[in-house]
Amino acid sequence: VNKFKSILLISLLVPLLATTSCIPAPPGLDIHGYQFQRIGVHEIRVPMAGSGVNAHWVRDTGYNSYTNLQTGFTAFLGPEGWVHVNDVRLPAQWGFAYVPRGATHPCTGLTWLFDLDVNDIVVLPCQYLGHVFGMAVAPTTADAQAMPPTFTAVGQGIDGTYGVPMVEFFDEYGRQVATVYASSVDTSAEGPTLTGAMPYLPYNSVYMVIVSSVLSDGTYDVGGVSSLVVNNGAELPPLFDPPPPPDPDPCINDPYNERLMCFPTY
Amino acid sequence: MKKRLWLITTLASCLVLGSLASVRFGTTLQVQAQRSDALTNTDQSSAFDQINKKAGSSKHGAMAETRELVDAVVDPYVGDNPIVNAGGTMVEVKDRLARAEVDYRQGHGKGIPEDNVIRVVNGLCKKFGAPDYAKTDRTEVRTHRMSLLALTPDLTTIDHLQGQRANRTTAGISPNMSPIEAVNVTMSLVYQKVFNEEYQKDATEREVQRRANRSGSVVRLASVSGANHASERTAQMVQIARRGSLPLLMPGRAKSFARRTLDILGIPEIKENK
Repeated sequence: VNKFKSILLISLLVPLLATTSCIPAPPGLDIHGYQFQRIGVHEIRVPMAGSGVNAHWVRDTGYNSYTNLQTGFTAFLGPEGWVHVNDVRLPAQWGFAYVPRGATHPCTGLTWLFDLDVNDIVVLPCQYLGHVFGMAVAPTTADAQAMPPTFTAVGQGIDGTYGVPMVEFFDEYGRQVATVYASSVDTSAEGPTLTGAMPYLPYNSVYMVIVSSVLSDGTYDVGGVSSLVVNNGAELPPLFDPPPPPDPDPCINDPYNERLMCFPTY
Repeated sequence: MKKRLWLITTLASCLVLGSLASVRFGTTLQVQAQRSDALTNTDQSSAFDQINKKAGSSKHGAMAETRELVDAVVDPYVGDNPIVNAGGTMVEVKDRLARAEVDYRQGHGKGIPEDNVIRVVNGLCKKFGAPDYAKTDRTEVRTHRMSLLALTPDLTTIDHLQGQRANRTTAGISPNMSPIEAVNVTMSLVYQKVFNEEYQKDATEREVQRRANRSGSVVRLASVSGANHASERTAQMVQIARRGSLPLLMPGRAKSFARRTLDILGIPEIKENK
């Protein structure tokens, strides 16, 4: 009986050890797709949730113990622009492209070629210029001690048809420091151009310049956003004086019985 | 006897191997089954354009238009995620948010202070054990709102300068937001904290970046937009988010988590008599 038990135990352990240590898990990868937009010096991203990604294997770049894995797939990005794909032939070089969403879509036609290893995270960024973009301000940088008398803005969103466009200047903490109106709007050039008097901007900051055009009903609509860096000036006053509030403890004051969420893993 | 032994051992081996295989490949199939048909959007515009468009059209609208705006704000980040949609969680969240927005526009409530966004983000960091670079502060929330101002100007609450009579100390972005703007700021900020290297900075690193930006010597970590792989911090944040969201799989937990988050953010609950 003891011999039988020993053999049974060994017969259970040997395949278990062999399985866990010798056979690697089928390779997979994560794909993250997002659109990004540049606002001045900042970049902000939004997930490409729901978009399709076509992927195709190009060539192996290392040993792969699973030879029958897929060499092409179409995956759809889930919430937060993320999807995990299993059973992918790796390590290898793969090509990626978004499933076309129309000829004019900014992500259509973009392709990527990556050398990938097992469990890599593939990042597929796609720049998009929204309707309030495409405006350029000159100068892009100014000396607070020698400010130019005027500035110009060029962009398709500038329109003087129903009134003089308004230009607002915000410092990087969101304080509106100046509002000026265009002294001239020229629509004869390649792109509509606006000229205005440069306001007094004494502080070092990345100012956001927002041009709003007048609509037919007399209201303003944002037509372009750009940024202007001012340096060699005074230090920008801080946004707030008091320190930030302390972090709340989610495990205290627990009206929805979430105390179970406060195990040491948190 | 010997033959019987081998038969038993062979059967036992098959059972072990079979169970392991089913765990592995079962998981594989489950993951691959995820898909977002509901989110497949053939529109040419970005999510931010959609939000701004809905914000503009719902400014004087009723509940229906407001609800469309809520969908535009929430869906890009949550969409048809089965975890957070469990038990009608998102329907409840969206209803509560839409009602709060309509009430706010009718003059009820002072709006949501920016500090509440900090409480939500830093509270999540504490709950999930995220590092300092995942935390936020007033300055970052404000500068993030500045970026959103460029993308969704119709959703941003601004106290505009009004000619000579303007009070220059208060003109600009309002420190109080509408409920939907507060949710938009919070969700997009959390997303940036997980996936955007430019936002994965602690307070000291943020200040260094700000000074570099002002001097014109832009130290752009954001060039990672052209990178092939997720950065180390992004990979770390993804792991933290995955680990932290595991308890949400338990019944009822997603709903209580969502309610708690809206409570901290300051979104009023729907009163029964409405």
